Amino acid sequence: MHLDAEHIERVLHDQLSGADASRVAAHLAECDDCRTSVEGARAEERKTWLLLGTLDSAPRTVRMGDVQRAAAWNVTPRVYRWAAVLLVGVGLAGAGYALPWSPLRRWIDARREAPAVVTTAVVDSMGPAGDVQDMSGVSVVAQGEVVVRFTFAQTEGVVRVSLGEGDDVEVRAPAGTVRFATGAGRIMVDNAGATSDYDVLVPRSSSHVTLQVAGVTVWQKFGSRVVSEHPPGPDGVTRVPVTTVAADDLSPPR
Amino acid sequence: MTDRDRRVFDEQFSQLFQEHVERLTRVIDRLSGEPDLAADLVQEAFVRLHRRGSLPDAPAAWVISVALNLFRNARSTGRRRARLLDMFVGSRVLTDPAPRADERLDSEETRAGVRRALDGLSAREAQLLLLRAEGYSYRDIADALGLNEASVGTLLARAKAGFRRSYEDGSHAS
Repeated sequence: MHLDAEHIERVLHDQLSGADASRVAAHLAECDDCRTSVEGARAEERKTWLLLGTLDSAPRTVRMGDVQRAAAWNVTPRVYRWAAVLLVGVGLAGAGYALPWSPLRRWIDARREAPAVVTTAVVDSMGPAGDVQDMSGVSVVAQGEVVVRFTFAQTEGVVRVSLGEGDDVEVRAPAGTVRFATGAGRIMVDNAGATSDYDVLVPRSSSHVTLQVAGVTVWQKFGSRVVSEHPPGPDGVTRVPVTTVAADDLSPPR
Repeated sequence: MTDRDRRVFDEQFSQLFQEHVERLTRVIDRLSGEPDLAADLVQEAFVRLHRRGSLPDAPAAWVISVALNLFRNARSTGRRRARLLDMFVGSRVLTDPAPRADERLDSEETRAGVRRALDGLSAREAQLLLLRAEGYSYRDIADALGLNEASVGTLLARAKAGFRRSYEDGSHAS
């Protein structure tokens, strides 16, 4: 009776024990065929292990200390790696910002100086156009000079400027049609593509308020004096077109 | 756990770690073709054993089994990178003597053929083959893979034959 595959493998790998080992050894001593089979299997296995060895790469060494730390901290190696990447990223960003010619510093500074975008939804009927509802608008405190700047000339629409008793310069427009940006002493109205009208409420107590459309000054108030080529209507409201604007010369009064 | 129990556990754990970490990493590396993944998974398997605070009855089989399960999970999630077939060859550690220079089979084609042949085996056959290539005992292999120890030799012979056949078929085809 020759050795079966199980026993040949066990001979190769020294996985026989006790009586089984003695019996197989005795058989191999007498059986040329089985010795040949074992040697053939050994040679084949050696080739197989060589082939499998070609798959070897150089994996990172797993260290005992890493295992103990991870076990203690309940942290996985992947978290370590992300934390390291994050730290390196923060470090690089910091170094990039610190450089005197850093574009990152310029970009951040520009962002910091840019006015914050404020969009306020107001449900109100405030202002001279009493039928206007669902307005949105912004306001800034009328201290020093305040400039209200409409970025573009529209194909239609007016700015209704009225004087009031409040402390703030307010600009209102139908919701969703424009975007407002405010900064110290300025309100910018991004009215690209808009066709709506606007209401601007200027405090009588304000010292200097300027209204511009597409870079052209169309209305100004210096102290108690208002300068505009458009006179106020019977209701006290000045209607300034926000369409094509003439380059008015509204120099401050001397 | 008393201080003494902790010291005993630490010693046993350290011994087990030293004995298995490189072999097991190599098994998972060969299975996955992803060395970083292999290191991560083996580390995680040992971390879990360490958190357990005591060694199981068959600690080697336990940690092998956990590492293989982690590998299966990682592979099944599909979040892993594609296998890297072109990683450079590191040091080989074989159970037999080191190969002679003229026996080195490290060309790209050979590696790709070996990868295809290994992928052609069932997961169990591939694991069986790789664990034995690292010298794991039949008992450890049987415990780790849930096999009857008495049939490990037969299954191993089949796995080797299947691997060789698949490799040679692929070589002839190319």
